[in-house]
Amino acid sequence: MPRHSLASIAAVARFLVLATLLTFTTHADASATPRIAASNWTVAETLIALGVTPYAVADIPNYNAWVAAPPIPPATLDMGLRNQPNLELLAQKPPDVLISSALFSRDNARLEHLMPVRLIDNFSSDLPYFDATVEMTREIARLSHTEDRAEQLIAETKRTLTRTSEALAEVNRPVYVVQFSDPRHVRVFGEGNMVGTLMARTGLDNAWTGPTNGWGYANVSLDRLAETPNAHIVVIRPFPRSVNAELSSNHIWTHLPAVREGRVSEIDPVWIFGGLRSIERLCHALVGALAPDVTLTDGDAS
Amino acid sequence: MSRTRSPRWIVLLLAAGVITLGYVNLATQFGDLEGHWWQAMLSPDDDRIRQVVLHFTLAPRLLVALMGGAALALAGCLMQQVLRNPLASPATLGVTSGAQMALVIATLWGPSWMLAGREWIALAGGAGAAALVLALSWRARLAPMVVVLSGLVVSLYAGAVSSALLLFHQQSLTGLFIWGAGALAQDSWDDTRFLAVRLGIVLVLALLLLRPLSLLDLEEEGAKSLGISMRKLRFAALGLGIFVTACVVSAVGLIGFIGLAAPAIARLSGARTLRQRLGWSLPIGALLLAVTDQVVQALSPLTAALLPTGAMTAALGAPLLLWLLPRLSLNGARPVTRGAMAMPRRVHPERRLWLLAGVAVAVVIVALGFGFVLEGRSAHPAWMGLGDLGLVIDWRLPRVATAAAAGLMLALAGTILQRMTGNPMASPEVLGISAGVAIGVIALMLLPLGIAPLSRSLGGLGGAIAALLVLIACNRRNGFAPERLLLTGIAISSLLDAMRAIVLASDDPRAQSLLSWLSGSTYYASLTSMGWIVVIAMALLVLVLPLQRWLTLLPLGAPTAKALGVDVDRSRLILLALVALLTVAATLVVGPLSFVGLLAPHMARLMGLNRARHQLVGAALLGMIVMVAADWLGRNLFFPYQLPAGVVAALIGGIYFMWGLRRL
Repeated sequence: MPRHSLASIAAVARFLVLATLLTFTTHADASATPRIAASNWTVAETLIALGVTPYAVADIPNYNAWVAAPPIPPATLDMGLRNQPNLELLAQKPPDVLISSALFSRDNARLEHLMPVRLIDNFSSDLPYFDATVEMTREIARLSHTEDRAEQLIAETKRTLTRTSEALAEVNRPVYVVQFSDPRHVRVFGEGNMVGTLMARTGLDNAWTGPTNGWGYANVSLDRLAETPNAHIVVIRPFPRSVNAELSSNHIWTHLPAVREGRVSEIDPVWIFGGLRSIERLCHALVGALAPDVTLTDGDAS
Repeated sequence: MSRTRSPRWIVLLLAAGVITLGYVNLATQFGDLEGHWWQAMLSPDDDRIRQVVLHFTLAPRLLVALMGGAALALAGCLMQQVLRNPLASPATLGVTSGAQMALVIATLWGPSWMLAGREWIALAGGAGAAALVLALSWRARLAPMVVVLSGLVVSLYAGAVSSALLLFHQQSLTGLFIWGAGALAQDSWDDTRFLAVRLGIVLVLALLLLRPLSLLDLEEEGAKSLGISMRKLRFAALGLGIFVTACVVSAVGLIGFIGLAAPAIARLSGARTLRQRLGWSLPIGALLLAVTDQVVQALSPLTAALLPTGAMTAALGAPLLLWLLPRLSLNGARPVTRGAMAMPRRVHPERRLWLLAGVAVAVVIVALGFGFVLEGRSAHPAWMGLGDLGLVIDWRLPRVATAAAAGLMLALAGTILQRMTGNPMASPEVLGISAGVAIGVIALMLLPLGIAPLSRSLGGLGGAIAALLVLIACNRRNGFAPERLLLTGIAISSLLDAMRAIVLASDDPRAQSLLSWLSGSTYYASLTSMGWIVVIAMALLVLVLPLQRWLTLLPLGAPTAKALGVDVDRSRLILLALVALLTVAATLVVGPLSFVGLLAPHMARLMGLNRARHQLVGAALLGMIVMVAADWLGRNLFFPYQLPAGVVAALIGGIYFMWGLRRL
């Protein structure tokens, strides 16, 4: 449709102007984009990646700890816990739309009195994780009128994945991607989230082949990481309290082949259930950890 | 029970179970090392990770299970002997949950203390909780029932504090859930050594106390005449029990029921003297925990979720407690209720009721009108203007009205229970019906991913009916005697605790929403649901008020009531059914944890509202006041984050309860 492409050109132009303006001004012109509240961190991350300042995001302190990047703009409101966004707050100046996810929502009919509610997430569809995430990004883009930026983002992510695959071609060890839940247990990530995607799209083998839950991970005791002795272990920060101090006296940990032979890398927080930006961040982190000699050029087309 | 029976066959059976399961687990988990098992266990080849894993996990885990079980059994034995109470145990005295709360707090705010010595933090928490429980039941001369009830309330309170903390730190505290549910996984011999040394010392000391402790079996006077300082002896034995429990808790987390079950099994299967009981409980406790842990290990490769051993023992222990109840003789005194039941009668109770009504209206006005107002990008506390009436009606009224209705129903249920059982510590929370509702909801939640609100109330109703059936089945024969009724309730509550721990430790993202529901939030109240709950509350109020004759006569005791023409069994059954309905409706809204059903009737009586009618109305008003205030505080204390009304009410109610118990 010609009108559509005209609008797209206008949107691109506006985006480019905005991008330059953004470096100089603190808040963007929000009148064109609807005010969107996101109770799911993955949606919040995607909105920010699309250049949209979310009107409100849930549980910002924990977002900063677990998703970390991209940072939440200072203008964004904190609307409380993810599964219970503060309705008294939203009711006083409702957003144009609230994006929630199946996990965090109940009785949306009630919320609909306040604002339209859309359930968008990348976990409750039948699609595999990456396709679901792409689909989610496009849907968010339609809501925030940033379709072109979304296509750019998707293309960037695919390029990053390709380059990651090239960068990791030399890695011939299987990899455990884990996050500590206490000094004796880890969440080990498998099929059905971005770790699975990355493994599938690069030549990397996942060292964990056991069962996983609906979010693609299993909670296991440390010794199960010895089941694939030649594996590399990638640990995603943050550590829960007291784990760091206790690991050195943990004999299983210190005897794991990967630990004895120095094949353990810590990477900065990445939201494993997150969106395209998180995937890119995981790519960069994994390349940094597994193939430190290779520099992964930014996926950006510029 | 025949006198020739001995616990030997139980021990042999359990030992056979441990050996068989242990061998099966060894063969399935370490089949690749066949032939090197002993070598790996004793001196593993450092370069072979499989041998290292076997060395640092298998044997230490078995030994820790055995020692932990033995330690808890020892603690249970000592406590039961000192308090002359077959229901005393580390869990029922609140020691384990007190220790857990102390460790949660230390982990959050003083991680460096943890390194200095977990067991001392756990000891401080455990000893504090036990001291509280004993102080609360001191007036009742440590009557078994009162001790157990105080322990339950202290545990509930510690649980509420932990819940409130975990709500805000869930992502970073997953590990605490695992530990809180008692996971025995080992990664070194440190815990084994830790427990071995401490268990050894405590065991030696306990053996030194054995002879004087046995004299407690005699009449107290007899022991005194033998020149023993009873107070010092009891203090020493209790201290040992608490210390050894704290060691286990700090090493492997919360392990339910072993401390209660092991001595009880020993006693029921024929161990009579203290020496015999101690001698048999230790192996029974050790093997019970080891068998459970072996079963957990055998199941664990099949699932992505983590199965916590401690919570599993608690889940198995609840039915065991139900089975034990009719078989234990509770020869302790009935709770002393005189002080609380006969407060001086006021001349003008009506005047007090009007005052309460006035307070209720004021609280409702504040809860509706005062809150956070958004200005630009920040919110600050202020009164709502008239222009915001729509907002108040849509978003505050449903929560306030729902909280009020729930508070009213819990208060009515508590009043009925307290009058019916003649026990001022009875409440729907204690009776286990709230827990039954929660168990039903959890069971439903674990099935499919998305759940409709309708199925939640059906699940809750199913759970409540199941709890009610259990209550009736276990109590019908003795005519719903108060003590048994409450103990049945305690067993059901502990089953809920176990299920909650298992779900939370499974590290399922849905745990957060479960936790917030269990904590009792009015968040989901809408104008429609509010309408329903208010109508239900009013209907039940209308049903309850005419029953004041029963409620006046039943506290006089069954024989008196019967003589005055009350069909005791039938009236109790009807009242029980009403309590169930009230509790289901309220629990679905504010969760199983609030103390309102306990504290509102109690407060009403302290205000001099002694007659059944006055107490019902006064308690109802107080329940509304407390619940509405709790909801308002929860909504505004940490705006925009919201604490569930149930947790806030529990935090307020718990403090009141502990203060008020001095009068019991």
